Amino acid sequence: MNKKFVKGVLTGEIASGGMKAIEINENEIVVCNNNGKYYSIQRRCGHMNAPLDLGTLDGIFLTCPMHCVQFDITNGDALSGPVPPDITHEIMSPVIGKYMQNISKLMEQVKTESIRTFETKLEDGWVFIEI
Amino acid sequence: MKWIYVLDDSTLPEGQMTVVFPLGVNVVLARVDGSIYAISGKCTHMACPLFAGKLNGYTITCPCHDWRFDIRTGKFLDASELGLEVYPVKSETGKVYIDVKAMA
Repeated sequence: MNKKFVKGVLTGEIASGGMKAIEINENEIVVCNNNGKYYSIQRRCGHMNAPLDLGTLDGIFLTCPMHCVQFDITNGDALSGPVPPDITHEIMSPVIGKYMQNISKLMEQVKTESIRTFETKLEDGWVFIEI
Repeated sequence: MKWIYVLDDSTLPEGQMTVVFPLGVNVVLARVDGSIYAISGKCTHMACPLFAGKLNGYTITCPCHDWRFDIRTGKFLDASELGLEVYPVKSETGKVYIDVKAMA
C-alpha cells in the first residue's frame, strides 16, 4: 500500500515540550513538539502498552507514565527499561501483596521494544504525518 | 496572560495531585491547605513523570530517583538552584485555569 502524508494537528495545538494523541486510519499516534520540530511516534509504549502522550517530553526524550521507560522520539529507540515500583515500605494487605508478587514475576519477563515512528512534515500551519 | 481551562475545581481533593496537559504539556496540579499549585510534571533530573511519584505536604517526590521538590516554588529541596517551572494557576466559578504564556 502506498504511503501518503495525512493532515494531523494544527501546530499551535502543541506547545514545545508537549504532545498530542491522534488516530489516523486506526493508527494511534502521538505528535511531539520539540522546540518547533515535530515528530510522530506510535502512541503505545513498547513495554506494557500505556498511552505515551500521558507521559513527559523533554527534548527528544519521551518518558512513559506507567513505568518510566524512555524513548528517543527521533527514531523510536527504547533507551531504558522500566523503573521498579517503590512499594516495599507501604503497608500492604496479604491479598495485594500476593497479587503484586505474581505481577512482579511476570513483569521480569516483559520485554521493552522500540516503537514505530512516522515521517512528519509541516505545511500551512499543520502537521502532516506519513501513513 | 493566556489562561487555559484544565479541570473542574471540585475534582481535586485536598492533599491530592493530578496531571493535566495544557497544550500537550505535562503539568502537575496539587491542592494543599486549600490552595492549588501548578508545576511542571517533568523531573529536573531525567524528566520522569512526577505524577507517578508521591505528594507529602508541600513535597513531591519523583518515582525514579527520589528527587524532592517544593510544589509552591518548584525548588529542588537538596539544591535550590535547581527546580521545576511553576505556572500561574487560578480557580474561578468552579473551574481551574493555568497560564500557558510561558509555554509559547
